[in-house]
Amino acid sequence: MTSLDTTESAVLDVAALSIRGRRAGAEVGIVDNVALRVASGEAIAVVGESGSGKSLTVRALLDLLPPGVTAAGSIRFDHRSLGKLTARERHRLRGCQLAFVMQDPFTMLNPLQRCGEQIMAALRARDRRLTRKLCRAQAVARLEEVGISDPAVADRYPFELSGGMRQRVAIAAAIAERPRVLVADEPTTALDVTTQREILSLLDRLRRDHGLSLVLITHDLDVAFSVCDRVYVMYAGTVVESGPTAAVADRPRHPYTFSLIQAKPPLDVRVDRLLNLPGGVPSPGNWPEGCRFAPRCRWATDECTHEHPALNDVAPAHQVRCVRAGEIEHELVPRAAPTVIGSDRLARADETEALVHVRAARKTFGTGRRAKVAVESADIDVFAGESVGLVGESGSGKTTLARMIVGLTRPTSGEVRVGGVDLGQGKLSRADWSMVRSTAQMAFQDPYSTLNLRLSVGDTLNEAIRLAPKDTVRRDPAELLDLVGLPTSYQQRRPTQLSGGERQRVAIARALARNPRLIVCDEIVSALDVSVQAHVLNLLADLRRDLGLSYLFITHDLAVVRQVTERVYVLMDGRIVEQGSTPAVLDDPRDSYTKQLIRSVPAHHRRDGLVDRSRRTP
Amino acid sequence: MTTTTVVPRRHPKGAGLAPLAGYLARRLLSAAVVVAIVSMLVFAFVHAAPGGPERSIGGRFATAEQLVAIREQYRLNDPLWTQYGQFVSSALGLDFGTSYSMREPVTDSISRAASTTVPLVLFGWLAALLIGTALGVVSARHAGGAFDRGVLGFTVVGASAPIFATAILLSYVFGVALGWLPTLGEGDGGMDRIRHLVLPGVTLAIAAMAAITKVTKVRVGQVLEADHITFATARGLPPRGVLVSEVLRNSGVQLVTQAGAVLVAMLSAVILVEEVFDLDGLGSLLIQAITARDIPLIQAITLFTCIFIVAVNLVVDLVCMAIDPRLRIGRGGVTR
Repeated sequence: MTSLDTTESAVLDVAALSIRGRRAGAEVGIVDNVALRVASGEAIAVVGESGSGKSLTVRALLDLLPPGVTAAGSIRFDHRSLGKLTARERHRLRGCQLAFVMQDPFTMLNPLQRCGEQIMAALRARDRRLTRKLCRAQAVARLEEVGISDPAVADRYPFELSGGMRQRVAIAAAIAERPRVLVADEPTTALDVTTQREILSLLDRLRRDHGLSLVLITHDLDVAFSVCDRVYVMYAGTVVESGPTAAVADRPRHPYTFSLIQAKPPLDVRVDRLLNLPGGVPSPGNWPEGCRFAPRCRWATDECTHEHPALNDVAPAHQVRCVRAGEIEHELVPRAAPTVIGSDRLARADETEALVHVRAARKTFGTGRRAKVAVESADIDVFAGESVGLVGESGSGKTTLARMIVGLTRPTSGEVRVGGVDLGQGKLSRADWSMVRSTAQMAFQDPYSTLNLRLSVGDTLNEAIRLAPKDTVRRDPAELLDLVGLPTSYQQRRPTQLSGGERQRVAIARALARNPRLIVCDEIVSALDVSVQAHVLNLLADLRRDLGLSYLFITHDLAVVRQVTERVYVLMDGRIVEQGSTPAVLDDPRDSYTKQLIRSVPAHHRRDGLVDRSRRTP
Repeated sequence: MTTTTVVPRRHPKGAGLAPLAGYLARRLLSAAVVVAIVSMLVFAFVHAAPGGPERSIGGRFATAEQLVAIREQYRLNDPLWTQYGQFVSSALGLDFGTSYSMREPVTDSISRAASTTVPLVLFGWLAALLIGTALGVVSARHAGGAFDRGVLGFTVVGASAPIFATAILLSYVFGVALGWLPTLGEGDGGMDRIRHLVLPGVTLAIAAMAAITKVTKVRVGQVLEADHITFATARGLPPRGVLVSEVLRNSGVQLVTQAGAVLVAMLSAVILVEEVFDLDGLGSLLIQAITARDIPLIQAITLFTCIFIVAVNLVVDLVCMAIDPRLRIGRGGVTR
């Protein structure tokens, strides 16, 4: 591993970078005094939750700040100060020396241009002599570099390719001019876990083959740890900890880094409770006096609120912005003793009462030759009091299956019995629907589109309560909010005044309004930051204990499945390929696809090495 | 070096040329059907006229004998289908009979009027397209600035002012007050003709320009915020290349659709403009024909207008498909 001690070897050296923008008419600091260094061939990660300022930091490096946002400070590339270059020279530097890959492979490429042309666009612009034929040949070679061996891809349009393929094409386009530094902003966040692993190992290989330095922006510590030599952890516009990967991962010295590691659900063990980090990241303009993390910090003392702490060395190349770093060192040991739940406590399901009973369910979209099978011969049971996982990648049919179970989609054939009512049978009476709705309710993935923006939280909940059948116990909004751990005063709030995690809580409260026995949770934590995710997962565990709920938990995240479910079904291309008790499936997978899924989880890479040279990904 | 072999997953079956040709054939056929239906309606005009066709040809004071003679002459006693067949076959030969009011073949009247209207509409349309697109692009790139606000003001005024008001204002300012340009008639050919067509052309252009500027500004603004523009900039692509191959091309479908809509809308605008500037164009001809109940003339103008609108829509669709490959396959079966 490269360790960086001298400025001499740094290809990119950022010092005292501050970024300011305007919010509600007033100028506010967004990023404050950030220093980053990348050596030639080194990979660094900039890690932080949303609102940490990590994305704007790297956009400042690339001169890509949005209008109205300005940066000050020193950015030196290869010992040349970018501030001294003209705009034209900086423009030339981009692509040529400094490359950038963005998060969403679906929007990053020009939809109207063939992939080969996009890869070669920068080269053609600089060298007019490149003929069309030569370009195509080169594009094919560049595709080969990023692991696409089919030359026909050069003639394809982006919309004809999968997300992973698009991300590869984008990387090929970004590094077409052989830049020295590649900045990747959440390059794998929008991808499935197996594709994520492929892209991460591609970046790793490019780094080794071309001596490319890598700046990886991510919110996922495991991704950072699996690819990068050094890690910078950002919080509220500042770097709070930086150091070699091993040191930061095993011996984090800042309470925030420690909290992030603790809040992340582990893949290999089930813990009693994930770390609850109260509050949220303060937004620009609302930074507290003193240490910005102090209000959320378990170890904060009066001392912490006095002045903003400096970034101090605690070990060689390991720096921490915490005044108490020395005193609390021995308390910040990740997963010191995980409270593992015994298997006896897991199995509480009452196998005599099936809330959901699905047999040979099939769902196709479209008709005739074009019909697409979304779900094929699925058999699923959810018993009272049980939490069941449904795992699969995008396109595996897991959401279709979930929608069938709550009656949003009718099965093409087969039996989907919910609360005794078969949703596959023709027309259902009002009483039947009422039975289905009172048995199963659904919570959706995107916290921002799941609530009606015109209604206050109280109105949203009242609307759901009114729909409950007359003979059941009616809850009131205050009670529902209490159940999900929100203050009663939130009834007056509108969805726009809530954070992502709070919206998701309201969505759960709404699902609880009818006193359902089962909640179908469709990826409800996947769009949330890790600390918020921990909140919601803990909340789900509490609700289950207090109300005796069952869950059907749909997710692509195996670590989440480990924490919240007792049984799991693995879906691939609309079929269930493996099922069984969660520990059995995750610890001893039988199906090759399940094995591949588990192998792809980033948490595994650091232990086993990212590039698994013994086998090739099919 | 480990190279993972990846094959494209969603291989579109419809990317070949065969489905495209099929689509084209269907599209042309449906255009033909529309024209055929309109031609039937146009034909039916004659018979819908009060007092029947012979009365509208012979006039109010025609005697019974004259009416019979007319029925004979125009073969109005033949079965309707035969008459329609006759109508279509002459129409295909560009023969719409003789205009009652102009006392000459309908085709002659129309081609004379078209020699005024076609250059006028083309000039107005092209000017509106070029200037409107340019204004839209520049104001989208400097959104919120002084230029943008100025352009916004212009589009609001241009779009909300009735076209005859713009026409009268322009002819007053440049024709009467300043005396720079002629305001009436179409001139005597050559330079004089061009001078006479400037004010009407500008009038047409202003109204159309407002619509084009607005659509361009909104669409280009959306495209400029897209990730692929940032990605192109981050790769150091030359700004002009980004503008053409990324920004304009991605706005293309909306711009072309709007250009087509504007061209069709100009057909009604040109009627007013020709009236105000006293031009003997197709618009004036149509009004004259309607006033004189000159059925053959009305039939021909209506039919030409309909063919023109169908053709514009067809061309717009084809150009959009040429711009966006996603429109070429499956016709809407592709997401994103």
